[in-house]
Amino acid sequence: MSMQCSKLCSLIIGETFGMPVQSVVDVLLQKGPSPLRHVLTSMMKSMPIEAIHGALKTLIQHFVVNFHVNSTTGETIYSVNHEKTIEIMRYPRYYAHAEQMVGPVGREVLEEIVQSGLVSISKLIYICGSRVMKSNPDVTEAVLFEQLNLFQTTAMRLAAKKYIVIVPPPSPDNENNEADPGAHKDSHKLPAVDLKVLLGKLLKTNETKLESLPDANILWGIYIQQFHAELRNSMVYQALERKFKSMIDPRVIQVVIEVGLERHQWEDEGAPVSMHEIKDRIEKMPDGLATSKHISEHLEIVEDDPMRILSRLSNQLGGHFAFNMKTAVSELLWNIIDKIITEKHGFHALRIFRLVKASGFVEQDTINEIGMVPGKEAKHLTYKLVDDHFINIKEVKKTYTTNAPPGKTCTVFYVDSSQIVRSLQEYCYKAAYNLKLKSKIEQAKIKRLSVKEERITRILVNMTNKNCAEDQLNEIRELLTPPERGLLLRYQFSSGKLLSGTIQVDETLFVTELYLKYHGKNFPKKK
Amino acid sequence: MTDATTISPKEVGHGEVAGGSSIAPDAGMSPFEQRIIQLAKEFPKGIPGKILQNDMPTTVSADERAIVINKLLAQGILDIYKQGNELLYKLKGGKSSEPDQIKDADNEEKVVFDIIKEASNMGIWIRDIRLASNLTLSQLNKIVKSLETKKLIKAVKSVAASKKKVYMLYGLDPHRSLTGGAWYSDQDFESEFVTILNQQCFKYLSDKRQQAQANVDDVGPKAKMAIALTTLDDLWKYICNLGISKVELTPEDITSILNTLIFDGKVEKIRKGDLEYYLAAEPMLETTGLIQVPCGVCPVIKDCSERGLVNPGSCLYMNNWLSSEF
Ligand code: SF4
Repeated sequence: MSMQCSKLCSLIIGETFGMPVQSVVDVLLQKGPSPLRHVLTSMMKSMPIEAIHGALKTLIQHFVVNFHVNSTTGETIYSVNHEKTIEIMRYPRYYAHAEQMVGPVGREVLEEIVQSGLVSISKLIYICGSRVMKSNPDVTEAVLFEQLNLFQTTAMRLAAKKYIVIVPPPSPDNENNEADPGAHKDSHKLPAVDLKVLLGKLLKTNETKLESLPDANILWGIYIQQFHAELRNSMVYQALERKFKSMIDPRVIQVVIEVGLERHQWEDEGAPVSMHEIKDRIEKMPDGLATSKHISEHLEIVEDDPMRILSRLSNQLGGHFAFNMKTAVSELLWNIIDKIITEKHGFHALRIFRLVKASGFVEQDTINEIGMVPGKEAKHLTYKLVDDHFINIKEVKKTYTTNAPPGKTCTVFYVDSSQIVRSLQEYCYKAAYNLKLKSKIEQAKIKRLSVKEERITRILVNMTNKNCAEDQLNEIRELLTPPERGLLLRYQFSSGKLLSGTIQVDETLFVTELYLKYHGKNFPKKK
Repeated sequence: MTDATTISPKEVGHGEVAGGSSIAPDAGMSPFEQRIIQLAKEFPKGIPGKILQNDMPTTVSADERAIVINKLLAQGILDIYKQGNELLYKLKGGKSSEPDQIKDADNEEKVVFDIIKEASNMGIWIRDIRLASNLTLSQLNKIVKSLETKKLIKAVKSVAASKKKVYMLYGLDPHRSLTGGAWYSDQDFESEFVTILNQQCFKYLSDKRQQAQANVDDVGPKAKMAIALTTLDDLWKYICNLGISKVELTPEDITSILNTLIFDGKVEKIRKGDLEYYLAAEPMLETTGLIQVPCGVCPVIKDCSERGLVNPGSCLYMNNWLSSEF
């Protein structure tokens, strides 16, 4: 992993698990995969051993640190899982998606699971229940039971939608950690939970021992793959909806994607879907009849598109159609790259880039001529694109011209997709890192004021509970001067913007990851 | 109309001679020119203008005749004399392909002349003449200069490399690849002209797409698409009728413009069987997350580091972005 990626990982860990855990991860990031004694030697002066163990335990439970036993030395080696760490940045999107699909309680339950890393369903319901009790100490037994019931059914819905999965606890066997936990047929089947027992434990406030519950060893975690598949589908669908704007009913594509990729979500090409099935499903949708009348025309237009995302596999029964997700994801990525180039260097640069991409290897003169960009500008832009790693440059021998002096070379330009994706990822890592760093700097600037505000809020809550007079409350409120309030407001706005900026950057990063997932096997390894 | 073929990037630049007329004496001449030369042979002392006039079919106007005669004069095939009040046209030397001056020239000049002649209207670079003639550079420079003064050859600058001069016979029209065709005037690339054509072509296609999109009749997507799709021929006619070009544009010129639009991501080529259509493309994305934040489009991102002079803490781009819309 690149240095930029490691720096970002360190910040993410710090933000999520706190500074002490970050410093443990920093050792692993700097030294690479290491045995525990290396971590201990580096950290012992600044942290007690138990705290180091605790930090590692948390990291392992969240799959951010992997471990395996070195077969020669017998030592356990710990290493940071960069991919999982970067995924933490994407959690707000998973939560928003879960909320959209399962409702706000779905989000709440999912957040709880993520915070625990791995948790049994009983414990999950127990934690959610204790939260209810904390926020509303006067809650009645009946209401609490209802709430527990709601959490259980929500967990069931999350499992049915495959958003959560039974995960085997982390083990030194690396292969096991890499395996798809959702592959087993029962991996999304919720165990039976006795809510009455849980209610009893909750009401006895000091009763926190949950190890005796029957499902205590069945641990659940978030099933990222499902979120990735659904986010991918929705990004691809939205992009295609824009592309075929008002020309066809985009729901036709949605059906082919959903039905074709239902079983095997990560196949390059979905299973063939018959026109009849598409028609059937469309007819059941609002205003579907108008579309189903011309269903073959809708499909034909997508089929004729130069992107070639839909292929007709047979002509029987109106035809069978398969959606090529690999191509769609590639198109999405190239469109992203196009947008970045246009934004950074203008539309002539985009023209040059796409021309080079379509040409394979091409000389500067040809770029100027076909691109119809004035010579000087074309040259300038071509080199800017090279500088930004969007295109590559290569010296080749001019052996094909008979009258050229021997040894004469010429410069050709070409596009190396693996390099572009890597450099795009680096840009994303750096942009996300800068945004997070800025957020940290802004937070530090306002630290004294935040502490003051927190203190005042606490006092105000206490006073309100004691039914103090409004005048007294106002007096306390005014301890925070208008300029101080202004500063706090500005900080809130900035930190919100910085956070949504990071989520936006991650959107681009996500597409590069998807692209690598489909093309990764064909890519040469980074030197 | 010619076939609506698109120039794929690799084909362009190695195309056929287009527009330029490589005139090898005796071959490739128009029937008028051949007739004039024949007449000149019949009248070795010179053809009187009157005879020339009477001999030509009535469909040939005086202007057209003048153009052909001027061309033959320029090529050194004909010579013009005045006898009394009458003009006489006479074949130069006896052999129309060799101007008089070269006959009197020395052998080296003849060799260089022949090499240049062989290059026809593509022209030849001085270095290649040297390789082919085995002359020293100073000798060659002298010869080339002398041929230029005698108006036997001329130097032409290529649009591809403005510093590279090529030599060709004086009377030839340089090949399109040297002049750049419709997109060049006096070796200068007419960037605005290309931009205007690019915009006009796109506007036409985009208007058609919008027309199709706005169609709310229940006609089915195929009929809608038929409104949006455009053939090269239609587009070519539309552009010609706009009258925005001083030069006559060929369908190939429009294909070149369409190719720029395809590279711009604004137009797509749709193939239906053997037919090709053009369609204004809708972008798949309005924007992307990375470019929504200042670092995504930052020109100095490479120099930006936590402890450097350019850093996120004091970054102006970042601060401006954070204070916008507050
Ligand atoms: S922090 Fe500022 S200088 Fe650094 S990359 Fe971002 S925009 Fe550029």
